[in-house]
Amino acid sequence: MMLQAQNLAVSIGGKILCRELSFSVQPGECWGVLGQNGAGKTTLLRTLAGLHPPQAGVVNCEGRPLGDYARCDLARRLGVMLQHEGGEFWGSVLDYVLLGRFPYRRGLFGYGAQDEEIARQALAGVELADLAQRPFNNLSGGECQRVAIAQVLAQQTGCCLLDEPLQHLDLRHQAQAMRLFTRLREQGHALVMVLHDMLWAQRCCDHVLLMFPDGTVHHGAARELLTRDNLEALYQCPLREVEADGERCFVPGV
Amino acid sequence: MSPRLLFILLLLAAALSLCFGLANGSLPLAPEQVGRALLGQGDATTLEVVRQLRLPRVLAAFACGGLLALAGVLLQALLRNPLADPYILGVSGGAAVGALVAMLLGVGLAATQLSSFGGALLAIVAVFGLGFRRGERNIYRLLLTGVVLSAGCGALVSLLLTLAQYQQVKGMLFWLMGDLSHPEGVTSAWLVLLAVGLCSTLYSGGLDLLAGGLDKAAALGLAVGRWQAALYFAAALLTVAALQLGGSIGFVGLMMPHAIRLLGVSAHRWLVAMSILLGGSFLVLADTLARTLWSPLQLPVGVFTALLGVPVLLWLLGRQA
Repeated sequence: MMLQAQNLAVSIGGKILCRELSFSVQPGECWGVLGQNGAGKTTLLRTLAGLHPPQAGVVNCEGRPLGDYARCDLARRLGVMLQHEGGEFWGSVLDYVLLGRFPYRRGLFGYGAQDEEIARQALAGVELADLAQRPFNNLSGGECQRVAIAQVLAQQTGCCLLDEPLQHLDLRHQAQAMRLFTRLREQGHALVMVLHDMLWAQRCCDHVLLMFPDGTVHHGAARELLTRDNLEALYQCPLREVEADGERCFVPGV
Repeated sequence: MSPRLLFILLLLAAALSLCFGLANGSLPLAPEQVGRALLGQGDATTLEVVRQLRLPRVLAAFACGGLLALAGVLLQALLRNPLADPYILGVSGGAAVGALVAMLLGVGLAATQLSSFGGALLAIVAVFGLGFRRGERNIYRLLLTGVVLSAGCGALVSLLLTLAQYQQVKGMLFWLMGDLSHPEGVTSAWLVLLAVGLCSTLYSGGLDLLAGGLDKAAALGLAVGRWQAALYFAAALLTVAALQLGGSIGFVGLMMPHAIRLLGVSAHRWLVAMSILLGGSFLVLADTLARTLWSPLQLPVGVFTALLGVPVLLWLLGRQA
């Protein structure tokens, strides 16, 4: 298995977000994490990435606890895309994507021609090859997001943790990103992504992890868990079930 | 401008500034006289002036500028704050209090140096001990601890200045404004500069990552806590070495990295070396002007770093917009 949580308890600022949580993500699976604002999706993802210490339990990556890895070894296995990335980055777009090759750097000046080629391909994957030399900090929000996706692609990890990968993206680029993720999945990568869009979760995730407002967490096959009752309880919001091309989907009831 | 071209230009600027510093003074010399004197030819006076008086001074000025600029680069990456300069974490405040106490007691130059060194070390240890938490990624606690300690040292400096005798005050002011006329430990300063500069260039990928964001840096394989501690001590070491050479000279550490960035280079593998070259050349130029313009009166070099640097930086900023 790629990633496994064993009896995980996660809390932040004294608030317990989940306890006794165990699940494992296999190669070729795509997990969607759904829940209301503040339910703890990001904190759970950061815990899975080893960026937030769990209150109890362990997270294993490829069979070994995260803590056993040197940070650099872990970064070759586990890619993480955060919600607020970038900060003050002064370099070009290509420089930013190249940071994804940091765990593989060797030699004095870091990145080789091969790394640069991988970074350029990743940029081409999100259709931003033309912007390679632009300064990173004058991109639009959506472009930043796509560059961040390119960076995590360039990291070439077996498992990717993505926090709201579709934020700031228009419909076309949401679909483009989801196609990229689906292709990764077909190649045997494991994906865990925090999503706010039930439709994309239905379409692209084979497993979901639902974080309910009362602190319970359910996880399992998307087909079984994405029901109207579950989603209404999850978002505390009435839903309508509609059928489109033989697929059932949910739209807000108000 | 391509980084390679800029680097070559900066190398040239460094060589020119060193020549300028060696040629100018109360005994003006032609460039070929300077060159011959460096090779050991020429009359005794010229040899004495160039090799015994001016060479140590320009080497001290260059090292001091390089140290300050590199400390600025490292601290701006560590604190992720464009306003970070070598003095922000209280190192110079501690050194100033140490130096001024020694001057007040009138214990002589060597003891003053030692006392300022002790003050700086005390400040470094205090800020790190109080402000750094293992496992805490946010570096604001360190920054605020440094700023608070600096403020405290500032108050102590004011107190010491009021307590001092009238004739002591001028020496104290020179120390506070930065003065390269009694450089101590030039060799060790150069060693520190070369060692830290080399390491920073070798690990420049990590500096780029830190500047981008701490969680992201960790996710991309950087041991963030260890890096922060290492950067803090490296910057503190550079600052102490610079303080020993020339007191607290302002402006260089804050602005040299920004000047290079405004010229279009921000990757640390270039930024480190370029900032050292620019900072060194700049301080040699400022120091030479400070000791020659109103000769025989020597002005504090800190005045000239600001007077020269402010218009250049304002021009660069305006050009960018």
